[in-house]
Amino acid sequence: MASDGGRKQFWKRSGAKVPGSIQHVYGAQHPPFDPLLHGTLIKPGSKPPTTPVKLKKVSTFQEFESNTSDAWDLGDDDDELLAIAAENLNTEVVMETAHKVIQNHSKLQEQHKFQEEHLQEEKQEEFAQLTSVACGDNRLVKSVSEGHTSSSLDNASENSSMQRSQSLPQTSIPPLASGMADYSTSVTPALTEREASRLDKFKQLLAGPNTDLDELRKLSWSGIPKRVRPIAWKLLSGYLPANVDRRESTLQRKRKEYFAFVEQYYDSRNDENHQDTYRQIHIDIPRMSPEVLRLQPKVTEIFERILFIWAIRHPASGYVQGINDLVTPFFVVFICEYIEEEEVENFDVSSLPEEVLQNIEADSYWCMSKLLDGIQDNYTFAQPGIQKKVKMLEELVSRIDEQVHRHLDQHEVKYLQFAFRWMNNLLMREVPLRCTIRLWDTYQ
Amino acid sequence: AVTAAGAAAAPQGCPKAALDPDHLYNVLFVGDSHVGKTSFLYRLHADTFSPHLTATVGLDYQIKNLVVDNKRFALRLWDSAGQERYRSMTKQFFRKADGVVLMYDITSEYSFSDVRYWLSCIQEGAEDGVAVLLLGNKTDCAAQRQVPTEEGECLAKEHQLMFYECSAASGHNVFESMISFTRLLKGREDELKNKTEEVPKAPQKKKGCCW
Repeated sequence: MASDGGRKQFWKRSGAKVPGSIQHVYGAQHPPFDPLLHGTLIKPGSKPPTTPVKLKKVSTFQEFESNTSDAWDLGDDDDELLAIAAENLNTEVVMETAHKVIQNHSKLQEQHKFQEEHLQEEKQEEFAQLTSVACGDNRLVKSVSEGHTSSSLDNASENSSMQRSQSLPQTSIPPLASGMADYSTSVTPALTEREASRLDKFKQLLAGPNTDLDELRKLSWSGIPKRVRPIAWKLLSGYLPANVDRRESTLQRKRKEYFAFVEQYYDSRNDENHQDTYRQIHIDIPRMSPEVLRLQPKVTEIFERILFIWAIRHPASGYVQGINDLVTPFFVVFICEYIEEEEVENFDVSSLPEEVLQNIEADSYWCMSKLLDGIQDNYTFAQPGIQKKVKMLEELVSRIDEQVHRHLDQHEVKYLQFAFRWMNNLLMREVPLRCTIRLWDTYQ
Repeated sequence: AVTAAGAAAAPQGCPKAALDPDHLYNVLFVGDSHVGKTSFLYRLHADTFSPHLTATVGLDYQIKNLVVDNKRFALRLWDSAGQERYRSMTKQFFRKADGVVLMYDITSEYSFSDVRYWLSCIQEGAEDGVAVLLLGNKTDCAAQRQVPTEEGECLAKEHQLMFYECSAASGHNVFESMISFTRLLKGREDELKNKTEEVPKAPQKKKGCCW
């Protein structure tokens, strides 16, 4: 079937063409840090220190950063934080920046194309191999290597070479792979020299007295060592303050606050006006993907509470399928803070002390909340956030790979049909969990 | 009559039916969350049951090739997400459906009472006279049954729908219902053709109407 083939083709090529996911990332971002992302995105690929756009963005972020500290000083008023965030997240600016980034890249690419093409081919191959080692997941490996084969076969290499270099900024290739290896090749706990020095860098940054979030984000771009990932995520998501002295008290306060919510709301789950929400959560958790910790009853319980409380506190969107997936990375990462085991998957969660489990639960709740604050319109009525992002993806593809775009169009394949889930679940259904976690290192 | 096994064996390995079907229909699956739409399609596709299917997000899509009455049929099956928030998205796809499969869960009265809601969506969004198959799933869970067969039959009669009870878990009536529904779709197509025969610009609706 022609259109069936078309879909396959699309998927194959999308393996190599990660720029599409640039769109995605805006959604995956927590808004306060959005502007910086552009700065970070621009850096790896481009050699000359780029446009005024970047400078503007960074200064906006710095402005915001100082505002954030103030907000923390005021106590925890989420609404205020949100308002500040909203000010800083302007879709037009985001779009404009994306345009410029891409334009810049293609210009640069034109210049360097000939010298670099050969080099890139090698890098690409190296990356495919590294990924296959690191991931051990056939699906991803296949898509990466197929993407490579198909695009090198493809004679329209002008486009594809541009995409490749965007998707795999050269400077980030080795760390990216090593970051993944860090998570999966856990059999050998001994760190290599480079890993050890990376870990040291993180530790220095995290030690304070005020963690430079800008610097931390830059460092995290190429992967966060497993040992410091929980604290790094809590900082990057905006859950923990940059100031070391205030972290412990913040944690205690927020954890208490969460369990006050539980006490206040959780009994209402069987009330008439909430039972639909609870029922939906209850039937969705057993059929989550990826299965979390083999869905131990204790885990199910925790997930139900987190999701129900979030839904009740956010009536504009409520619980929507897909949100449940977003708890998993946080939960799995935060559990690692308390256990020695390298493999989380088979760990018996009920063996942890109750207090520890409560901490993990509250931390997961707040970090998920922070993430969702930035993408709430993905889940409100008619899901405008997703519609917008799918539209953006469509525009992006039509601009950078007209051939694919035309092909889809000819076969009347709508982007909504295949990209909806990508946006709705932040790609979590498309890549294995450890890759999602690694991706979130970069895009937190 | 076509047996389930026969119908299952033919399609997957039959490239002819896949490449050059005589008829091609778009069929949209709707119904409440967790009634078994995806499981039904999985049974149809792989002839097995998996209790670990994830909740559908947005739309999923697959093609089923069937040989019925010596004719090759390709069904484009659109699996929709049942949760309410997704309905505005699903609704966009009603218009292009040649047929709609409306599923409820016989162990859930709730899902059955929502059938009327779904019918109104179909009425609103789909073409007039679209073929509708009402399916009561999960007959394997007889002990938990909350919706008597007669109630399903009665509702189907009232709205002139084709009706089956089935079980994606056991395979009961899965292929049978789809084969009957294919015949119904074929009948509708023939009717439509006859009606438009005199009109010179009768659209060849089934050819290349991929969406």
